[in-house]
Amino acid sequence: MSATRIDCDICIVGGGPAGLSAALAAAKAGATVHLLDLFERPGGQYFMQPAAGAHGPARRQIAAGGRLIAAARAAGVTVHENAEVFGAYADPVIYARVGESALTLRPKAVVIATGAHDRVAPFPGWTLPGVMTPGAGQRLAKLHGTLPGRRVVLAGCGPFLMVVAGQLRAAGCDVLRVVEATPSPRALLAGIARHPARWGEALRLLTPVAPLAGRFRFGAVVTAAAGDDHVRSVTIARLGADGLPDERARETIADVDALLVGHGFRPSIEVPRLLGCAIDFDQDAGGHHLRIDRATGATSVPGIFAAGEVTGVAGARPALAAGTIAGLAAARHAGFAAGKGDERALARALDFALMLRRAYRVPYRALGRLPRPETVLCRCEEIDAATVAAAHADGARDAAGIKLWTRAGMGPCQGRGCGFGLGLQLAETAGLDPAAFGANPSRFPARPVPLSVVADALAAGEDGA
Amino acid sequence: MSDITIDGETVAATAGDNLGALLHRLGDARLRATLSGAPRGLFCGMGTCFDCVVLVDGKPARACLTAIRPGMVVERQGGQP
Repeated sequence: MSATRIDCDICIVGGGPAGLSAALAAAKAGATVHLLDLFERPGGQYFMQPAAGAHGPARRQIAAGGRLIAAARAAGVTVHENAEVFGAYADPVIYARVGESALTLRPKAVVIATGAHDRVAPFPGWTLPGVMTPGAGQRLAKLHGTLPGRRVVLAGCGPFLMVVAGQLRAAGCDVLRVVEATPSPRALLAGIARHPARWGEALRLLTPVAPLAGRFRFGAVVTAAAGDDHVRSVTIARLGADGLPDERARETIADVDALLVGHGFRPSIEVPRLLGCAIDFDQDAGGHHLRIDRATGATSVPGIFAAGEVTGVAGARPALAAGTIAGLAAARHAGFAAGKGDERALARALDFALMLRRAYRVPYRALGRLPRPETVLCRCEEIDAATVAAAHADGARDAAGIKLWTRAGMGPCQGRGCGFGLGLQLAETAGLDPAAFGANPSRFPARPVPLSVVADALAAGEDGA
Repeated sequence: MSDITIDGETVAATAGDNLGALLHRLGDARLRATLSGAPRGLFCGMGTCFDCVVLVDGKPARACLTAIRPGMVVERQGGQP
C-alpha cells in the first residue's frame, strides 16, 4: 500500500492567490498547514510559475507570485505539488492522488481555494483541434514556451481576453482579431477612471494590447469555426439590438490556426459540493459558486472555509484579501488566537471587481442560440444538441435529468465543460431558468482515479490507521 | 535531450517539458481521435476537460498535466474503444 496520512490543523485545497494567502495567514497564526495543488508548481492561473522564472511581459506578476509562495514556505506551510483532490467528507477528511500514491489529510479545518476554469459555450466547430480556451493558450505560451498557433483569433467576453491578447502578441503570435461581445470599451474605461488606485495596473494591462486596437471587434461573437481536422477559418457576427447574432453582419476570418474562446470563468465547486457546502447562482459571477460569510469565509459546513474564485469570480485581488480572512478564521476554528483580516481591503477589491463585471456583458442569449442540432454539447460523451432537445421533450428538466437521459455530463470532466452550454441552450430553446437547471451533482471520486489509490486513501483515513 | 516514444516512433524531447505542449507542436494541434473518430486537441490546458488524454506507459494520463520523463512511452488514442 502506498498512502501517506497527515493529521494537521489546516488543509488548503488549491495553491492560487486565495489558497496561498490563506496558507500564509494560518501558518503565521501558528497552525500546521498543508496545501494541496494540482500542478507542478503552485501559483494557480494568476501566479503561474514558469520553470525559467520571472521573464517576459508577465514578469512582475510571476515575481509577485514567487514571493508569496516563498513567504508561505518560510512560514512553515507544506506544499504538496501534483496533488489532485478526488474526495472529501466533512469530518473533515480530504483524499488526494499524487501520481500512483494516495494522500489523506485529517485536518481540523479546511480552506477551499479551488479557483475556476474557463467558461466556454458550444458552437459549430468548437471541438476542432486548434480551438481552445484563452487559459489554455496562456499556459502554452507562458509556461511551456509554445505558441497555441501562429495566426490566432481571441474571442469571448471579459478583461482576460485583453491580458492573453497582449501576452500572445509579445510571444510572437499574429493576433488577427479580438472578438469581444461587449458593445464598446466605454464602460470599462469610465470604470477604471473612477478607481485611481488601479490606474497603474490598468496601464500595464492596456499598453501591451494598444498596438492591437485595430484588431478588436466589439459587440460580436464567434458563430462557427471550420476546418477538416483542424480549425482553418472562423466566422463572427455582430450582435443585434435584440442581443442575438445578426446574420447579415458576418465576417469570415481565413487562414486561422488557433481560436481561443472563453466567456469568463466557472467556479470549481466539485470538491466543496462533496463536503455538502451550500451554493448560490449568479451567472455574472460565473454561475454556481459557494455561499460564504464574507467576514470569515465560512461556508455552510462548520470547519470548512472558502476564498477566491470558487466563491464567485472576482479576480486575484479580492482572492488575496479573502484568502487571508479565511486562513485566519480557519486558524481560529483550529484553536489558535488569530486576527480577522482586513475586511475593508476585501470590500475595496470587490468594488473594483463588480465594476469590471458590470463593464462586460456576456451575451447569454446569443450563446444559447449558437449550437445547431448536430453540434456536440458534451465533449466527453459526444452528445449533440438534438439529443439534449429530445431529452427535454421527454421530460428532463435539470442537469441531473439531462445527464441520466443522455449521458451529457457523465464523462471524465463531470460536466465542468458542458454545464454552462447545456444551461444556456435549454434557457434559450426551452425557457428553463439556468439557476433552477442546477449544477451537475458531485460524486465520489470527483476525478478519474485508479481504484487502488481510492482504496489506499480510504484505508489511510480510518481512525487508528 | 531525452528520447521518448510516441506511437512507436522515437522522438527527441526535453525531460521536464510539458507533454501536452510537445504533442501540440508535433501534431499540428491534433492529439487524439474520439470514439466517433473526431479529432481533438488541447482544449482547457489545465487538467479540467480530459480532451488531451493519452496513454503514458500504458496508463491514461492528461498530457497537459504530464512532465516528460526519459524513456516515456506515449500512445495516442485513435478512436478504438
